[in-house]
Amino acid sequence: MNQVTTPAPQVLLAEVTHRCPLQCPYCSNPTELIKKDVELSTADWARVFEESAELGVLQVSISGGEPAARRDLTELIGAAHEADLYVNLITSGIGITKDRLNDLVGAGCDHIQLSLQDVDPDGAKLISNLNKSLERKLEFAKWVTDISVPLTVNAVMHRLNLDRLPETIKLAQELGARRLEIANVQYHGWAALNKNLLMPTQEQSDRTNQIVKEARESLEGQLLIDYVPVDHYAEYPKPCMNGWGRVALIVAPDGSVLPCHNATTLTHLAFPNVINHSLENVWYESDAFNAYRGDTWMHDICRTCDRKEIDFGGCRCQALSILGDASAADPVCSRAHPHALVIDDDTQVLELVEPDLITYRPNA
Amino acid sequence: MNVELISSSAVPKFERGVRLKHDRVRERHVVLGPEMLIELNQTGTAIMSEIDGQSNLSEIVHRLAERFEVNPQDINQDVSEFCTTMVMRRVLHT
Repeated sequence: MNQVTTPAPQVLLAEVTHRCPLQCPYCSNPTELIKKDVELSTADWARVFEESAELGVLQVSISGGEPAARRDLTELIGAAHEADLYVNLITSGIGITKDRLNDLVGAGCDHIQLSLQDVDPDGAKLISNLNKSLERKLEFAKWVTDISVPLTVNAVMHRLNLDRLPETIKLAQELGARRLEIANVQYHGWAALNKNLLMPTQEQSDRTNQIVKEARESLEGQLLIDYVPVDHYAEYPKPCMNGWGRVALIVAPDGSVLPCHNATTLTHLAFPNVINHSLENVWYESDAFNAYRGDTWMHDICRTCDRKEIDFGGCRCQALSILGDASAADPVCSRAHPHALVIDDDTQVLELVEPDLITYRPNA
Repeated sequence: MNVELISSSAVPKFERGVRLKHDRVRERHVVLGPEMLIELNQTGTAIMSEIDGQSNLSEIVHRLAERFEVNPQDINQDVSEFCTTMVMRRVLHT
């Protein structure tokens, strides 16, 4: 693939820090968390936002960790807004007071996505490992909708909270959310360490599909619902990141530029850093971004498949971690690997899950 | 469409946090909103450019008809359907 056929990126995910007051055991951050002392400066981020906009990026999602762990979050949002990007803030709501929220919105935050661990306070405490996390989030959500900023509720679902999905949908409506993301845990990184506690049952997965279908119909035009089903019960892979290096790029807290959250697990690739590379150079020229573009890297079963323009072969990280081959078809694919993603026999269905069974991610 | 079209006296407005933007890199117009990026064709761009938060649907149809030198009746249905779809997707509200 050459520069002529590579489309410009549309979305930047700015992971401004890996620090977080929550310790969710399915965190999408890599298991090797990046430390505060190597985080990019405010000026570095401002340059990243400007270069992104010039490259064709239209939307930035400022994420973490918890982005509010950075004291300069207002400046970061201001710089992204100044670069004429649409600014989404992806937050747990923890650490943002009402006054600070007003500052963030005043600086140009266009939309807020709030994570929700559980509608049940004890369930939320069990997952976040933080006291009163649900209560604080509900207060934050009210502040957001009080000033009419569009709110998305991002509900991460797994075996321990899936039975409360109807209540979760109801809560999103009550909070005045415009969007609800019902996102099943992706079993990479931290989540892979906790898979036997979090993996839903087949019955839960089937019921979820039905509940989502009905809610989408009955709430059409009121609440937009995005849904990520469970990989392990799916027939075909998801179009991971909408294809490697096709639509989105991620800048990690230390300035590494990645095609997906977990790309650092692909240790055979070297990911350039914004400190000494332009984003344009990384996007179009780097070996890492070109590695899985197009179809020349694919095995025959993918290259000749009629779904290759739909799912682009799926997730490279999952192919490597489960099959030991980063170029293999995503293990989800029932055509390529009918039996790759089996539910382990050691999956424990426990009446009561205690914190000492959970591998939490640390705060920093 | 199965849903009821918005009435000709309704005044369509952008939802908070949704806006029209000229994408200069790709030379097109897009609608940007929460996790939303809608690429507009020429017709979509023309309609969305007329959404000023004050004109009702009938006035928008008449202005477009004048601009493209067509009969308002000929475009009324298409413009109504487009705006109704945008309301369902929470790009516009009335």
